[in-house]
Amino acid sequence: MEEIEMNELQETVETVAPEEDMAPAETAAPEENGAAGAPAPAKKKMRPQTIGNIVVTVCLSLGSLLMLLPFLWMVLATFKPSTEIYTTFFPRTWTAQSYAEMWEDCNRLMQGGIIRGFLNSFLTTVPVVFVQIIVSAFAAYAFAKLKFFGKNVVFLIMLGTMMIPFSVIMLPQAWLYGRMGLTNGPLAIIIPKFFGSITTVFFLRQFFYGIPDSISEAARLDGAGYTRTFLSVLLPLVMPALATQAILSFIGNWNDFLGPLLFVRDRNWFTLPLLVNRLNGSGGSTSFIPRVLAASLISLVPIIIVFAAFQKKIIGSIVFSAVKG
Amino acid sequence: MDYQTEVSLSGTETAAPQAEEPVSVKKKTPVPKKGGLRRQENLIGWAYISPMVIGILVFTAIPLVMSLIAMFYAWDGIHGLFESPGVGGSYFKAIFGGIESVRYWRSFANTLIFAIQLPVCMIIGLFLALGMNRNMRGVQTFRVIYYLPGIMSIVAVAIVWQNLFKADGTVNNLLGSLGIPPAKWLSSNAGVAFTVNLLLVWKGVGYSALMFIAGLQSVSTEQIEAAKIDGASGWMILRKITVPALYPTIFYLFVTGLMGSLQMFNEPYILLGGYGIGENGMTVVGFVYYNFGESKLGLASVGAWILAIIIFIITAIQMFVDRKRQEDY
Repeated sequence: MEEIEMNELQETVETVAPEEDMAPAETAAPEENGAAGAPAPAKKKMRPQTIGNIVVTVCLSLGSLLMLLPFLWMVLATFKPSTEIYTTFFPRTWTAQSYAEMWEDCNRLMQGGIIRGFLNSFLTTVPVVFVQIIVSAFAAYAFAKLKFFGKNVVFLIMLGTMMIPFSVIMLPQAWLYGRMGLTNGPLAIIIPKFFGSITTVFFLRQFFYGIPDSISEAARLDGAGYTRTFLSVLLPLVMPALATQAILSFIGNWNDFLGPLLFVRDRNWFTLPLLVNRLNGSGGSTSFIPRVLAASLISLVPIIIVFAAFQKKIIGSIVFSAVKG
Repeated sequence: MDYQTEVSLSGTETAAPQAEEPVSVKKKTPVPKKGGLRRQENLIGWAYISPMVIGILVFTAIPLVMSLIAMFYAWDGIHGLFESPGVGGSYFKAIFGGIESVRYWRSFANTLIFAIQLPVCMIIGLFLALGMNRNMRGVQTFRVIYYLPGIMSIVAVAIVWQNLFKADGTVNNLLGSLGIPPAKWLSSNAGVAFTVNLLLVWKGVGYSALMFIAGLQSVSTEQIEAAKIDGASGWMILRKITVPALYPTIFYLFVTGLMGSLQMFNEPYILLGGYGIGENGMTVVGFVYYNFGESKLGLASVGAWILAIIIFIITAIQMFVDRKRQEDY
């Protein structure tokens, strides 16, 4: 797989990398498929295609409704009194009481309440992702463009560690972080990520490959050192890729559950997923449900904002990373 | 793996970049004069990768070795590993036929059951991709909507499903109003299998669809046009041209999906509200986590390593198939 991937990615990268985005989705979308022919010529052919489009649109719309239904139920449920929660779809009596209750519950659970939860989640994602991406970019550049002793061996070992399931190392990690004194605060889910991410290195390496050597050579002939060349010439060229990785990494870290569950002992340092999970577990009765759902909904807001802002980039990157087989 | 060739190819070009005499640029082995430059590049290279190397050594290699050793120790995760009493192979015996075998292999079976969603996801995803690959209005919106559940926090999403499928939850209420008796969505084996798989399909179809859309770009237009002229039906084209062209995507989705599925924890854990109530949703990773809570890290390690070996085998098969496919080209 890797070989095909690399060759193909490289080709794509060479043509695309310096450009703004790498979303081939839209440009490629008007291509062929099973039923629809080329749209431009032959006006008489428009008819069956329009009918097909209508049918497909209707089907996809119905499916979309199914996809969105749980979210819709969730939003509406937060405005219901707990007695209505399972019996109606639309609230009979609208109330925002669940949000007030949620606020109090969170305050009871941890100092600073849900605001603290947001801050914790923010603190354990945004700076972490920033450092992680930069560190990974340095390593990716070294692997792609520099020649140094033992490079291939180190790279193969790094690829090998990608295969190791998290479940194998997570318990010794928990012990190790405990011994290092990291589990009492948020540090256990911060510090280890400062050392870079292998997947990011692997991904960015392809982009650095795509940059012609002449560019960095020119910079170095002008007297710039390695680091200077990297930071001011090469890094800007892979900025789109960096941004995409940062967004994906942010979403992954923000949603991470098992890591914080194992490594964050102090509930004042709970991230939002942990906080919401704890709220959900704290009460068995139905009266708790609206406020738990309110907390869940609020915890989704940052992701929804990020997704709304970067949806083209996110979706493009998935389609892009799929152009491998 | 042929990284070496690629690496060294691009490496030699950068090897002698800022030569004072451009005459020697093409030479593969640097002249002794440039030994200093070589050393500098060695240093810079290692400096750049050193955080990664240290990180892997400390946070992956050490835990990895520890988990290997832990399989033979009654380690509670509080004391040091070697302060714990050794137990020989008794954890292996416990899992292979001993007292832990029922729980472990049950969790193993659950893990496999929760992989049923994979082919379902892929089939639905394929049809969604065919729909969303058309040249029509709103396609981008559809892509966003179908992908949306995939990036949502699993905690929030699973809590919603928990409430929908509770014994007295919305779904059972709805069924009741239609005169259908309530089902045990979250408290019976079949119910859990269905609900978890449904959640995973809902969360995963968007991703499958996006991957297939990408794969569809490589389906040859001329072939389809030719088939149409020959009077082939849409179904025939799909079966004989589109799907075969998508084999790489299908394979990739299946293997990566299987890896993810084998390491599943979050969805059933949150959906069923932890393992206090029952174990009918416990996965292998859940077994590991559960024994962490029970302070049996040695047992947990044995459980985790069995899974790891299976994952290694799948990776090996994947690499073999990929290599073979590339040779065929």
